[in-house]
Amino acid sequence: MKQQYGLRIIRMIALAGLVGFMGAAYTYGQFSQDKKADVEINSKAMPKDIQPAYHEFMEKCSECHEVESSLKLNMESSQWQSEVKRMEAMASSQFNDDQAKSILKFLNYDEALRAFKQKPTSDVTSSDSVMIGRQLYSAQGCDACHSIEGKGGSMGSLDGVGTRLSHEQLVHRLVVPSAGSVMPALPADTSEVQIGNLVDYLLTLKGH
Amino acid sequence: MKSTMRFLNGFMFVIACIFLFSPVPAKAVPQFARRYNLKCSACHTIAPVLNEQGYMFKRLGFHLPPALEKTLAAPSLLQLVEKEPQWSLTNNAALAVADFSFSAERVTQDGTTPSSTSAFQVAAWNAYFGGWIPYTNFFYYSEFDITTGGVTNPQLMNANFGYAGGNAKSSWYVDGGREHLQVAEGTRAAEVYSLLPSSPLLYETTSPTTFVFDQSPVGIDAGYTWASSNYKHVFAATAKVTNGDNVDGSEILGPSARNSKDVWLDVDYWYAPESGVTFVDYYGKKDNLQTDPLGNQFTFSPHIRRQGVFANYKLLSKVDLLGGYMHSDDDWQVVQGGVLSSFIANNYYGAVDYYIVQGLAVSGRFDRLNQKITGPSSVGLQNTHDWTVGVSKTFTPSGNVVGRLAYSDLAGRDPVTAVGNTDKQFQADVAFNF
Repeated sequence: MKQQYGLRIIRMIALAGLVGFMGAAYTYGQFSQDKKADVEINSKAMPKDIQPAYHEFMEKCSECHEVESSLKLNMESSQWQSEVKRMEAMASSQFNDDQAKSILKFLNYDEALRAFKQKPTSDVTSSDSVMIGRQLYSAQGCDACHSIEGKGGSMGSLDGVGTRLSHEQLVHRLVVPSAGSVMPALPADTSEVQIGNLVDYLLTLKGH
Repeated sequence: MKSTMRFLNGFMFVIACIFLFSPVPAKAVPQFARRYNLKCSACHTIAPVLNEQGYMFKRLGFHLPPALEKTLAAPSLLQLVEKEPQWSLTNNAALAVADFSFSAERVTQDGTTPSSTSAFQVAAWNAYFGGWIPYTNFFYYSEFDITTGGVTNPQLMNANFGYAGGNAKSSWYVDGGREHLQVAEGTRAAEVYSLLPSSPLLYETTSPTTFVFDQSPVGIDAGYTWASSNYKHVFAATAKVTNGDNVDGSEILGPSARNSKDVWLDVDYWYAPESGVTFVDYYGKKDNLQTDPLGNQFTFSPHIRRQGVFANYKLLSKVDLLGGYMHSDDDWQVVQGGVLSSFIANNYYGAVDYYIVQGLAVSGRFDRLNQKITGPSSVGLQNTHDWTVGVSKTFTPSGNVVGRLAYSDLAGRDPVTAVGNTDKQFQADVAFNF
């Protein structure tokens, strides 16, 4: 009786192994041909106002999509906007207009960050640097506190900052925020080149 | 002691299976999900329970329901067909949809010695072929069962072929072949599949006749579906005419001398997100093998009727409240040529599924079945009730490996003999959907 029981277990394990092997082999061929770009997301390094948007994105979008397939590269903000609107109109989508805005906010942030990371440093020209700096400004959520031409937060206007502060002063303020300042430090993985891009952008703000 | 050891051994084996198979690195999903590079949870809350999108997918002839934006015209099904990815075997076939289970059960019956059993088994190993004929609105679906309930007995359970037309807002289909009783499974509360291992009692109970509601007959059916913008409201109706059952309750799959047919009607209303109501109606007449009190067998032809209404309401995308009621009214004959009696049953259930996070849910259900026989051979009201609790968990990001633990406690009395019985069952299973 015991022997029969043991044989039964062995047969079960063998059968389970066979099914598992067949399934893995069968699906590997399908998906290995469609390799997605590596997607690294460090939610802790995200600006605080982006984090809720990120969680909204993860909760709603990952219901149907893998992160690798939903975070496509090179989508303009307007394209993401229509894509999110389209998703909202799908069956079983469980998000409303406010949640759609939040998801869009994260996607724009992620897109800007990804675009920057993709750009080879050697190809960066002065105007590219300013453009990347502008994207980083949005991506890092600087506009949650600061305003430019009346748009953004109320903690301080950056209009004319390019006239008031020098390149070195701006670098210093970004890297070593003033004592008592509520301004958060830049994420730990921010490179010198990225800081340079931000400064290049801030230096273009010559207005009042 | 021995049974305790067997139980523990079984539990260890199930845990070992979970650890053995859960770290599958492949983003493996069955063919429909593979076709669109989506997770299983795009169409299931937790497989195999369908959500509204999965329901619509079936009704559109196995095409992903498109976005229905207020300002844009709904695409025709032909347009959906043109946008389908290239046909391939991998996005039309799933070869290894398997469920490995351990169950321990204790059964008692008045006047007999209680019995306990336990079993490891391949509860199911099925292969599915389903998809669309490229560049056409024709679709097909078949299920080939290799192993069922631990017994290897290859058989074709479903094989049907159909055509879908119209557009994503207003569509129709016709279909023929052998297919499961619920063409589109109804709304959530009416689905035969739930997060728990068993269906509501009257779906599975054979009643004094050998008829069981959960079956896969051969027949033809037609359905119409209407959806509003954003799928806020979906209304669907289906009518089906099928062969009936043989005297032993098995489906009539080949030529038959019987000339009666079974008629099924299903009306569904979905209210986004994920709430709905379903009305089900069935009428049929079948030959039924009967044994009289002296032990003589004879055949009679009872009329069989079922009406059911089911509803669910999903709160905050987390808590799904489900309930259902089904009524049956079947002819019943005790002796050959005797006066017909009626077998009446009323089944109602209430259930709660709480989705703690995506891919993890706990469930509970109370199910009660009241049965009686009226007329000359009447038997007073007998009832059966069943408590079931369970937890379901997906083990891969795509949701294609699902583990489940469930315990049910059933107690009741047989409607004909009025003999009391109980059935306590623990079940652990891991389902692989490749």
